[in-house]
Amino acid sequence: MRFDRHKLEALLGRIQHNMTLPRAPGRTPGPAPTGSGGTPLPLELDEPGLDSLSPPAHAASVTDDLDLDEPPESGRSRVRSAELIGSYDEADGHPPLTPPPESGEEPAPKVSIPRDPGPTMAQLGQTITLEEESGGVLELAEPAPPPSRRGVDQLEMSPPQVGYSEELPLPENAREELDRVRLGQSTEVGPTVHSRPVLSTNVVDFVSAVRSYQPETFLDLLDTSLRL
Amino acid sequence: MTPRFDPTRAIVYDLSRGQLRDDEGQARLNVPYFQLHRLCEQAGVEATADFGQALGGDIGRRIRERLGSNVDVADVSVWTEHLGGHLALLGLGDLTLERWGRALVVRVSGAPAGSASLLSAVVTGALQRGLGRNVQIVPFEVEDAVALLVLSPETAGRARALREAGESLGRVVEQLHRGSP
Repeated sequence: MRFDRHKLEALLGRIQHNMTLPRAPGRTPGPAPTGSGGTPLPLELDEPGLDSLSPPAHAASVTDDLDLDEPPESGRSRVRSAELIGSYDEADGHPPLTPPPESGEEPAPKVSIPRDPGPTMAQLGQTITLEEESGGVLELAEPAPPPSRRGVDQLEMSPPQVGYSEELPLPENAREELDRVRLGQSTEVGPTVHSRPVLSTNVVDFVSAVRSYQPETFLDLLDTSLRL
Repeated sequence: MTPRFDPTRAIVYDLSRGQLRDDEGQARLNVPYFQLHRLCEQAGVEATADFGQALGGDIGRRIRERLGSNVDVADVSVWTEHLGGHLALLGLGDLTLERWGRALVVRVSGAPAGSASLLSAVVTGALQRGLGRNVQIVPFEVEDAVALLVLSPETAGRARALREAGESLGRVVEQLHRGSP
């Protein structure tokens, strides 16, 4: 589907023209609510008005033509047509885009709407084409100097000013840790113990002795058991 | 071909008539085990053994009729299937057959608590009626199962004495093997 710019600009101009025109007074389908003395009662904005309780007059005339027994799709198209008719304001002086289905004689103007027109030029703004840099040299900041490789004995050190108490108890595993360090072992490595599995001696004793016996039938096994 | 155990319509609940019947049309009764266990305790050991052997005798008869001429030549797996299937229909647990050397052990797991004596009587009746052998069973409660040592009447007395002395199933079987030719 092609994008018809001239038609859309004409449509945009009509919409802007309609926005500048004064709006027509609101239509009230029924008489204004009156009190017991016949004086009209003011409507509160937060309260539902009468037009919200009863359908508009011209809409009611259209809905009278609706056939409720029709399938939902056909009924929906008629309601959509009624909405278009209801939105047509004679003060605008423009015919509706979609003619009422009852007319059927005047063909509706064909409006082609692109599926995805994309952003307009105003939305995109001005596009600036950047020239491609060729042979540019990027200057990077000077890398930080590597850490000092001086030995531990060469580091400057100040002894702690606060002493420790001689009465502090030794940790429980201090001796073991000291032994590990002296043996050159890591503190996270421990011995791997392979324990001998626990065997039931009474089972091992006689199973090995009667391995050759294989009964062919259940009755043979029963008779063998009865001979014990 | 050896017939398989078939539990189809083994027990029919006729709710309209309020009746339970097995595949042979015999009346059945569904009662709580606790009530039956209490009745057996009050009836005594001999009455409980007679009741259990009657139940087992019916099982042995059904197995014999089902297997027909194959009953004497059926292997251990066939008897495991048929005898275990009938025990399962009664709600008496899951049966497995074990061979400890030359000794036959029937192990039943999932049986109701305190049903070792009743199980012993049922298996005794099933083997006597099904294979025509005079057997006695010495039960051992092992963890969550009951191990039934199948012996002759002469050997069963010795096994019971060893069990009463605190020997386990394995030690009893070992002693029986050493004392047999």
